[in-house]
Amino acid sequence: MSNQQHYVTITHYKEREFYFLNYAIQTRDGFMPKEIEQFHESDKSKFIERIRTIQSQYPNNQIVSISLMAKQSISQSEDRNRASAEIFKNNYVIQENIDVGDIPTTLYFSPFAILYQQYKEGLTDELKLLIGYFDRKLFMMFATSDRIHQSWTIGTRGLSEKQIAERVYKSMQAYYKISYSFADHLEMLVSDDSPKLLKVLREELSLHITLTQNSIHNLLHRMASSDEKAKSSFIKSYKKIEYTLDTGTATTDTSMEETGSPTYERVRVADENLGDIKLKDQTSNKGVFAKIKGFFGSSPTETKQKASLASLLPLVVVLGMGGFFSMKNATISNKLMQKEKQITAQQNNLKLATVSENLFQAMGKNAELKKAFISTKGVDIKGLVWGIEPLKNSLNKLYAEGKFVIKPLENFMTEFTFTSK
Amino acid sequence: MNKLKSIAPMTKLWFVISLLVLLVWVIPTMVSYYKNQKNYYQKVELLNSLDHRAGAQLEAKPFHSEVFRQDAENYFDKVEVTSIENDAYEVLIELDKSKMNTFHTFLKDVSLNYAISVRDEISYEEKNDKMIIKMIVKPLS
Repeated sequence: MSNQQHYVTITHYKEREFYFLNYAIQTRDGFMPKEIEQFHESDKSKFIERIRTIQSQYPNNQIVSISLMAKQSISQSEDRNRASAEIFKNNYVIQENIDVGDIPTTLYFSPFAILYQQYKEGLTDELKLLIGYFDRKLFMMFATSDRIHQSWTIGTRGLSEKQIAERVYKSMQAYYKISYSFADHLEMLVSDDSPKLLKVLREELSLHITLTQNSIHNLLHRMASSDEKAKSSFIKSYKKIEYTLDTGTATTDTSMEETGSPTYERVRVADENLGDIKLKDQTSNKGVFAKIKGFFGSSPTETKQKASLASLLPLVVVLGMGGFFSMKNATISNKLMQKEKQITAQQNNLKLATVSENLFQAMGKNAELKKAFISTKGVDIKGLVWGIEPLKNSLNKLYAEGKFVIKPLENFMTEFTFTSK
Repeated sequence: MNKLKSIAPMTKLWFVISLLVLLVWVIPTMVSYYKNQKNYYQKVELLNSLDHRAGAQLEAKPFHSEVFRQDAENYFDKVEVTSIENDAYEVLIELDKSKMNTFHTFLKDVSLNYAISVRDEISYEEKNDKMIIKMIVKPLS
């Protein structure tokens, strides 16, 4: 097949003082990238000339680049005064202008558009934070399947990994303050090896982070592989992408092969390069807590409501405990009071019985009781007496200084009265 | 610290309220409960030491005038129970003078068998070789 028939994507971008150039032959089964070429910015003319050369070799081409400007954001409406690209329905990425200068470019993508294309299949009602790490900038967006809720760009040049992680966390906090939603799932797309950053992010955020690693060139080749993806370019007037019918015996780039994931088009999964951070399959990497959370998983609104209800749980538990112990305490207090009264009554009864016993014992056979009032405090008794002195002594032993009075009766009997003092 | 800051204000408020309720109400109630429970078992021990009844040690029955009268008549010749003011009952017991010990035993056990207290005043009067004893009892509320 001649070069005239091949659809070729030429990709370039500038990082620091270098231009990076690559091109790939696109087939319906994937693309075949060539070797990456690097030009110093002082050799810009050579760089442009090289693009022209490839163009002339492959007339059916697209020249694809990425905007690495920090000032770009996601909006729900198009801004016709600025460069804007529709990522998907009613979700636009907007930046001040297209800054490709005099470098030939037909498709110009935002990292946000690339991020969306990378993860769109995996978006659900659950809020996810998608992070793209390109040219030492973090392009972050909070997204669900229906829309992109918020976006941030964080420059990381000169920052330590910990500082970067802190800034990511602050962004999450800032988003939480405006939406009361927290992304507990994080996807990250990196363009170069950053194992330490990923490790620190995981530690700082305490979140499961799924990583995808791919070069900017490969990502751009993919973006230009179909009209559907290419539509999200800042540059609107591009020619329609056409493939040759013959796909030949082309060996597709291994990075574009299916990875087995049912929803994601995963490319070169990171465990090839991030040796110290072993990434497992998304399902197997879920912890017990995550599985439990998944079991109760719901939409962000429901999650918010559940979170509000869950925050009441400690109060409910505390009130429950308080109620339980109050009832138990009321019951035991009542029983305790009854026992105290019973003890007092019993002690009083024993004293009364003792007083009565002592009194009858004191009278013995010397007297006979006719009438008496007894209490623990004193006695007042009246009866008939036969042995005056023994009775008097006995009573005085019980009640010292009691008033003992005798009175002779007409029937030759003697009546006594005794009143304790 | 950062994670703490990220918690919603309402959630924090609920936690603070929960903590206050725990400190001000729940913990003092718990402490009071366990203290009362300990006191209760001590009182039970004390009451047991005052209990010299023979046979089964039954809990005090709630007072019912008719039940009380019938039970008392097993020991005495005649028993009358009359309701008087202040939720109290006047109990008249008639017995043979020679059986005063029965009365003394009855008096020692009455607050163990029934949830009542006996007013600290008992009157005796002898009539026709019978002793008539009058006492006032009051159910323990």
